Amino acid sequence: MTGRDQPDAPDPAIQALSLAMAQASDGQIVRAVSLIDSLADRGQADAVIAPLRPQLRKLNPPRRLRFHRLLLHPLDALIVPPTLWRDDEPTLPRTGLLRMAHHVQQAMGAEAAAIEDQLVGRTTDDTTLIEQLGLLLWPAAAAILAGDPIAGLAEEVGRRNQHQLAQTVSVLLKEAPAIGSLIAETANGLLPPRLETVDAMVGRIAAGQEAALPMMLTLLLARVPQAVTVLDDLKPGRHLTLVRSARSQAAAVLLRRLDRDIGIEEQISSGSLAEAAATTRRISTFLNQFSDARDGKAWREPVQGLRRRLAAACQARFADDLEHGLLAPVLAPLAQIGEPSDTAAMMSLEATARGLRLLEDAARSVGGSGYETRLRQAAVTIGAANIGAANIGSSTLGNTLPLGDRARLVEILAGPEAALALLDPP
Amino acid sequence: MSTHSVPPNPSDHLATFRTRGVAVPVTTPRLAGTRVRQSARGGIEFIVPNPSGARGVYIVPLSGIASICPPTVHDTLLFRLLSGLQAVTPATVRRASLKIAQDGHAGRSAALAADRLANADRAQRQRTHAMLLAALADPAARGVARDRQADAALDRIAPALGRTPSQLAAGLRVLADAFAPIGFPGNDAEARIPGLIRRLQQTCTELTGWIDRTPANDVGGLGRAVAVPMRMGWETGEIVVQHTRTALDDPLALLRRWAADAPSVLAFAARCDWLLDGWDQLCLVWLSAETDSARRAALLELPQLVPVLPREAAGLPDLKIPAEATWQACRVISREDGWRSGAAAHALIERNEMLRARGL
Repeated sequence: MTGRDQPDAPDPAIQALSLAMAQASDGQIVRAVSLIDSLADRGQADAVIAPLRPQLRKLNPPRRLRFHRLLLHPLDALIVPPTLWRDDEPTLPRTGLLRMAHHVQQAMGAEAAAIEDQLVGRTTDDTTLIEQLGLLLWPAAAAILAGDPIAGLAEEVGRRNQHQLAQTVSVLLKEAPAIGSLIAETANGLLPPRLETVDAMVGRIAAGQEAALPMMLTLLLARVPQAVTVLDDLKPGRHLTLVRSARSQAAAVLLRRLDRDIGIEEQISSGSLAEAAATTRRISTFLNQFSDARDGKAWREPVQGLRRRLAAACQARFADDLEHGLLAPVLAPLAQIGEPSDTAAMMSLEATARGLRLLEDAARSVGGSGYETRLRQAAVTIGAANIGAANIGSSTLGNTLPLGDRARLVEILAGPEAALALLDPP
Repeated sequence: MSTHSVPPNPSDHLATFRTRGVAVPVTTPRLAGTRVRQSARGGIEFIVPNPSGARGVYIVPLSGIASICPPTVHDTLLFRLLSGLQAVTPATVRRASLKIAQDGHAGRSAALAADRLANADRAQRQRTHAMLLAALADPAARGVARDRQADAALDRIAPALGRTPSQLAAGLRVLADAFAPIGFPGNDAEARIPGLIRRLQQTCTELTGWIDRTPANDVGGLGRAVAVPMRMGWETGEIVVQHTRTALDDPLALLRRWAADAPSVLAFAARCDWLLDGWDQLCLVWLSAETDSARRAALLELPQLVPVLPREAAGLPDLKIPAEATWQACRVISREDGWRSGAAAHALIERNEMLRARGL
């Protein structure tokens, strides 16, 4: 980060622009952020985005990949605005991290430039690239941060904290490939987190940098919530008390974040339906694992409250997308239609229908009910919509949704038998 | 979920390609690896691998599929179409599956892809026919002159073969259709079988490279176990393609063979299709997995999809088939079915439909 990124006094023009952005529509915000992301030198443009961060989290647009974004990617679950950062909690202040990223970039010189070259035109959706380049960058950055003091860091995090924070980030980046490997192994829910991997990771940190342990467990539990009970199964030894204390701190941060900062409702209402379903599963697993853990009693009450909120958030998202994302476009009045069939529009409808099924499946794990009935009702409506039409944004599906297309939607919503009944009338 | 290397069991050995059946490009996750064959009792029957991944298969008629799991609309309509086939071969199953995809039952992308593939098949058949005609004529001849010279060649040999020239001309078209998937040497960029062999080789290279770079990726040793038959698949495929193409060196001799015993010539041309049947789906499952987590998940699907060679393969010329190629190298046994039911099933069906859009 450069001095220009953090001006001493607010620029009136930037303030005015920020104010205007606060009134902007979702689409305008996404376009503005994309434009700012594409600037070679963002300068004060970052200040325009700052007030929009909560809205951006909700919209969840892919962001342009930059050096600092790649570097800090594994730490995402820990990053908080400087105003919310406390040095006794397992979180990291964004501004301090940007100082560290700048320091790493300077120290790596040509190597950093080579990495930046590969990021041109790529976004945060390029998970494979993040993984490939991250495996090169994160260990190198860890070594750099473990070395010399970092210019300007004390101003962001305080002189007392600067050294410890840099060491902690160094340790976390060093462990990023191991955490990444655990995430990859468990992402599909086919395999549980490997006890040996978790044990080795905890052992390495507890032996040298025990202050980093709560943050490491926060990262781990945010992405691999199944690891909560694995921590219970670690071999008894000198680190066990340390691990339990670190786990409690991690749990407190993550539960508080669900409750206050990002918030369950915001997480479920943002991104695609598939992402909302995945988030529901992750949060549900996290909450269940805490109920099942050895010290689960202590968490029972907040966990129950969060589970209720999660169930309500899923219901709201499901109802909204079923009505506005699926039924409204399919049943749009003929007057709105004028173009021939559009494959992209139909695929978008199918993605919405599939997303609804995914969310329904995930939501049932937190006690949601009535989903199946509503899906079946929607299937009946779509099946009968032989003079309906579909209108998705600027694309249209023509003035009649063909029988085959309606059968596809019915199959996704209510299963193959319902679709075959439509295709093979008695 | 657990993984096992499988000891040889003679009772598992399949005798012939026809008893192995033809792989069906299903979209229902629990029916992965399903094959279809002609039943000894008449009609057709489906061979469905044990959904748990354990040893054994279900051999069921069309009406029995639903007792295993409810198939997707795509699969139901494909099974119905297959049940009307006179002959179950890789070529007829391919045509049926393209037809169902063209009708849109695997989604619009798959429909567009199936149209492209059907057109590509047609173009390749025409190209092969033109090359056979050219081989009958003066190599320098083109267009109408070439056709006249080819007609003259057919006129010359027709009496000796006891056929009319028009019968031989029709035979040449049949041979072009049969050899089109293999293509002529040096002109096979659009031919399907060489494309499949290249895809299989690419899959094998990517899989082994991925494991070599990070050995921990090889969950339960599945990757290495699958890579062995995969390598043998493309190596034997190349040998059989080369051997089969020798028949194209002399189209007149090929016509004579066809006139004397058409079924054996067509069976000769179809060997590559039978040998490599089933590999396309496995390649697509692997190649469509781009991240490490997706690849690890894909690895768990591959054992069920590996086409086991029947003993008949050992009789193919120039091939040395090791005994281990005739039994399943490894299995993945699921204690529960969560990874392909409920929400996971929707994602897998979508993935499988996407594979239909990328098939060869």
